[in-house]
Amino acid sequence: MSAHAHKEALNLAQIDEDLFGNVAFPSAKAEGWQYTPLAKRMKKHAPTHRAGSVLYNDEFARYYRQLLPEDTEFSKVISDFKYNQKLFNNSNIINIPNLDYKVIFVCDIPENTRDDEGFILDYSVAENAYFQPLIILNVGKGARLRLLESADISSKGWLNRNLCLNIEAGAEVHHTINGEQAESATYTQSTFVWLAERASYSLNSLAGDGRDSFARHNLHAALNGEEASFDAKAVFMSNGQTLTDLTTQVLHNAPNCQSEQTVRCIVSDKARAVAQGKVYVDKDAQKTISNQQYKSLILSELSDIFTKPELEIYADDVECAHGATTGQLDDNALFYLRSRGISRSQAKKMLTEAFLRDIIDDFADGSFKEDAESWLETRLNEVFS
Amino acid sequence: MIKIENLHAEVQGKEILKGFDLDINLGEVHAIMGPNGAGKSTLSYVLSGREGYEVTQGSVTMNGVDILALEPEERAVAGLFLAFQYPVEIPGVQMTTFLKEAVNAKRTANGEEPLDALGFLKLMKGAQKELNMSDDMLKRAVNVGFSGGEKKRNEVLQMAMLKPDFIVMDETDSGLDIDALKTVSDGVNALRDDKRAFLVITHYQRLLDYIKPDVVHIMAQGRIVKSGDATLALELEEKGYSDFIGGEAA
Repeated sequence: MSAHAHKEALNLAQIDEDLFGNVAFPSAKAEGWQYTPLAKRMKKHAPTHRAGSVLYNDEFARYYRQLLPEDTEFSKVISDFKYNQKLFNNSNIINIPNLDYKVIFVCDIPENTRDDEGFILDYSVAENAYFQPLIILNVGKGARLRLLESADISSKGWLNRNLCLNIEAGAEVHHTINGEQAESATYTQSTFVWLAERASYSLNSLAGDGRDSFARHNLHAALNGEEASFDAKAVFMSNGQTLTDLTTQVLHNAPNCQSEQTVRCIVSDKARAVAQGKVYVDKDAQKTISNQQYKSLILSELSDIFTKPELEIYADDVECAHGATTGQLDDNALFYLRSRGISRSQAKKMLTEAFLRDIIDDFADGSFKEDAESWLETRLNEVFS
Repeated sequence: MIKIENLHAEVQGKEILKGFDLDINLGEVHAIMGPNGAGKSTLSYVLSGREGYEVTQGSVTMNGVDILALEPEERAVAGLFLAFQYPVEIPGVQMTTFLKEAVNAKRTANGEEPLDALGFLKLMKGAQKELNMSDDMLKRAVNVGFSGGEKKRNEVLQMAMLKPDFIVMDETDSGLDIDALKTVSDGVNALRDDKRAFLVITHYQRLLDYIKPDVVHIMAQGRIVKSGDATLALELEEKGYSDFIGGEAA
């Protein structure tokens, strides 16, 4: 935890602005937003002002080059990373023209850096406030980066975090996301990952905290170089009226690349989980191996699960699989445990934990595994309280 | 210790138990034999409180307590144990976690301190040794990848650790070869004493060569049609069910 001790804070002054009257949030009619009514949500929980901060550790500071002027345009920065508008052409990106990015980090991680302590980014958003940071990381050839993100969003706060990761040849990024949200918090994330040849990206993500919170993660990856790999593992466990959503777009643009997506959703009370994503395999992307698996567990009558894995393939020599299953706890297993004296609620907890056991055991990052265990315990106690 | 009186029970609206009576005293082993469809497994599920098995009439008391009013887990901590005909596989739940939860649920319910990791390990190792179970089995998820024999040995391991007062064994011999049958029976016999009672449900007389019953009952059409000593099982083996239940056998 030494990294935390050296955190520096970048605090923004509280600015009262009446911005939200004119903001065009994606409507439920837009594809990709059918199950995730952001516009309705923001109408109900419109923030009143901007107040947030990013805490970062000294590892981050070491590479942090510049804080761009406040008027930097998003599209201009992005163009440096060969951002391809056409490929990412869909309505998933939360594009809010009236809201400029007030905090932009641009970091270059030098070639062959092996950074195991990790970059830590802790966002915090005040009550009724919004905060919209943009982080751009250019990970140099052969470098290895651990990126640890967490968010603490107060009640009715909105964090719209945007992250661009340009991963150069042979570099690897291990990314973890842990959200701690208060009741009624809104967290929208857009992550863009560009992978050059032999570059790799892995994500371990946890979400679903906070009753009546709302979390949407748009994850876009373009595998542009040969033998690039992408591996996303996400776990959602929610209750109350919480909504969690992972929407992915994985573009295989080069041959011999691999992508893996594993998502587990658990919903209780009136919670909703959305897991949708498209894997696109370009005609040049021969020998692609891609796998997309969504498994969901429904614990109550009024909770919802929407899963939609999609494949669009133009190459003829690929191995692509996808699947989605949704079920309930197994009555036979529940009875077996209860017949040994274990209470109904404890038995349900054990079986729910078992549903997540393999994915959490597979989390790549050892120390994040510990975080995941304590998150799991807290979530289970909350869901089965 | 166990008193079942005029028990009637339905499954999905169909009456399966039709006035079942049975008394078992402490220290006794009773065997129930009967043809397919006699209601033997239904009896075991009704006793253990499985959902979907509805008691319409009658009573069951264990040590004077009306167990039909209790949840399955309450019956278990009160001392009832059902050894399953088909033990359930539970992927993702480790054997040790499961056993510790079960042992400590019972201890807590009985006002005892829950066992710590060391105390639990000691208890488990003792039982494991007696039943000749490998460490490997205890490292796996509950019943996952277990052979038929291992699953049944696992049921006996749980018995040995939970030390129930009343044990219902539902066709424990099914799916066992001779060697496994002997291991399982030895485990059961080691638990026989004047502090507990057994109800052994089986199709075949063979199991009763290993677990010697004090009383044998023949069940048909949802109730007991004849009771006797251990020789009744031998007689049954020779003559078949139809002699006893007048052509009612399935």
